[in-house]
Amino acid sequence: MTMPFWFPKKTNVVWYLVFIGLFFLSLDFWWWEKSEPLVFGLPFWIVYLIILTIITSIAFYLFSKYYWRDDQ
Amino acid sequence: MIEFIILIIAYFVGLILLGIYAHRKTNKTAQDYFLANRSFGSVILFFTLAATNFSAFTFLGFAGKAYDSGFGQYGIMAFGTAIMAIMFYLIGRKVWKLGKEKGYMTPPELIGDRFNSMSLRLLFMGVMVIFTIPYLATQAIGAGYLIESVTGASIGWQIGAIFTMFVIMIYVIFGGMKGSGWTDVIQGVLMISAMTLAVVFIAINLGGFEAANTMAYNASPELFARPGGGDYFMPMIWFSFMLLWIFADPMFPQIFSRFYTAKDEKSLKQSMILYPIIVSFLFLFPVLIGVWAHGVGLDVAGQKDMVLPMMVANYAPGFVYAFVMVGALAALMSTADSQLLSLSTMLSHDLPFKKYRISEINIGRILIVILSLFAILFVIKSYNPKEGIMGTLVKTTFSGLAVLCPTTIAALYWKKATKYGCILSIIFGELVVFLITFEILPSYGILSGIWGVFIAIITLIIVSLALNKINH
Repeated sequence: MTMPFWFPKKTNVVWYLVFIGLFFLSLDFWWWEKSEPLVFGLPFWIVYLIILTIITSIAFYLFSKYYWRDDQ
Repeated sequence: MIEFIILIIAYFVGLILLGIYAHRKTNKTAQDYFLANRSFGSVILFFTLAATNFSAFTFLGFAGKAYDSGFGQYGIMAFGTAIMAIMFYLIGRKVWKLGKEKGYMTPPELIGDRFNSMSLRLLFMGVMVIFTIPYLATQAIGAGYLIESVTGASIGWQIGAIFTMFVIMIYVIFGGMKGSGWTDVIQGVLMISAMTLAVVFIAINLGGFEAANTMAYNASPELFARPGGGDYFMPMIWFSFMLLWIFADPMFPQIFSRFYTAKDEKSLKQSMILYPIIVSFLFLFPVLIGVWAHGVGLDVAGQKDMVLPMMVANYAPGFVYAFVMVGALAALMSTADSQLLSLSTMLSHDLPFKKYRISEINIGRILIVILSLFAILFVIKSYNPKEGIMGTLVKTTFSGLAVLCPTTIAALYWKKATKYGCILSIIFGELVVFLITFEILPSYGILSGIWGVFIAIITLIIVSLALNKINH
């Protein structure tokens, strides 16, 4: 049976998990209606989102180094 | 005001000169004029992808929304835009490769050729053009507001908007894609420096970064939590925005076209890596300023999109204010020039004109003039400033363009996709966006663009599979 084109393969399943995981982590409903603790006056969930955005950049770096091949 | 006049004249003259220089460095081929001969390395590609995407909305609309609803605005924009850069791989890499192999110059050309369908090509182009023109006009309107604000209404916003469109038109006509890309680098640097200076000076004048936040927190604590002011960030809206940019941003014709201009895959990779870094801080700055305005009790008098210029005017020295305003102009002009060029490329290349004695480049130049006039007409006649930049954009451009994403992905990856599947996917997707936007169908708290994409995916799959079955 042929799998649909979008179905994860052994070689890329990790990247599916990483990027879908990052996306779900951005839906941080557990911080809803909370503003404290404050970090430099900023609500902590903003610091969390800044860190998540930086992690996304690191994930892109690793993705382009270990998965994205120029001859794909 | 005098600092601003000097800076803006120097800035406009600089852009025009760079456009003329790019003209001298451009061969008389359509590939070179419209796509810079597919030669953009990492630095130019990154800056042009960033500057093109960060617009009047980033400087003005963004701060205005944060003034209304609070810090949540950072989350939906920064992370949503950061994760969107995965599309540089999923769409950008394939588009770049196919463009190089088959000589494609526009998004509709690739889609139409994949399905061997002129109807689909024209439909795809029509959607891109229709939804991009209001966005182009919004950039001009943003410029008009800025110029009106800085000159103390000596120059009305309509005149400011028209004059800015005129300058953009000149350097795009001369410089083509090289002019647009090179000016994007300068405009990107200006925009980043201006935004940084704005936050630093306002923070210093408010007693420091933490003090500015504390003042705002004491005045309006609801802006520091979600759902935020006006209960805007309900969970489904948050979810919708996080998804929306993934589908919408790569479908902006000015972004899609830039995938063709990459010199190599390394340029695309590096742009993808750097994108989250720039949005992580650049998008925070206008949000901070919008929220801080509450701490100082700024009265925006119904003009929420002007909160950033007002704050800079009140809490930064005159020369910083002038520089920040030029930076804001850079942000919106870098978007408008790219939109103008990508629209004229599509209209000159994708419409089945019989090209007699006039070259494709000259048709493109004539179209740049016509499109500029069209945008100006939109400024004068159609725009309702009460809706705010964000309101107008979300209602039209973002949702309308996002619907094209399923067709693009299918064209690049799905062998069973059919032209009728794509055509109906776009038509039904847009129909749903229209019906939800105008409240004929319920949205259940989800943005119309997400519903549009969902319906587009379902239609594409069902129609394509059904047609495959019938054909076999």
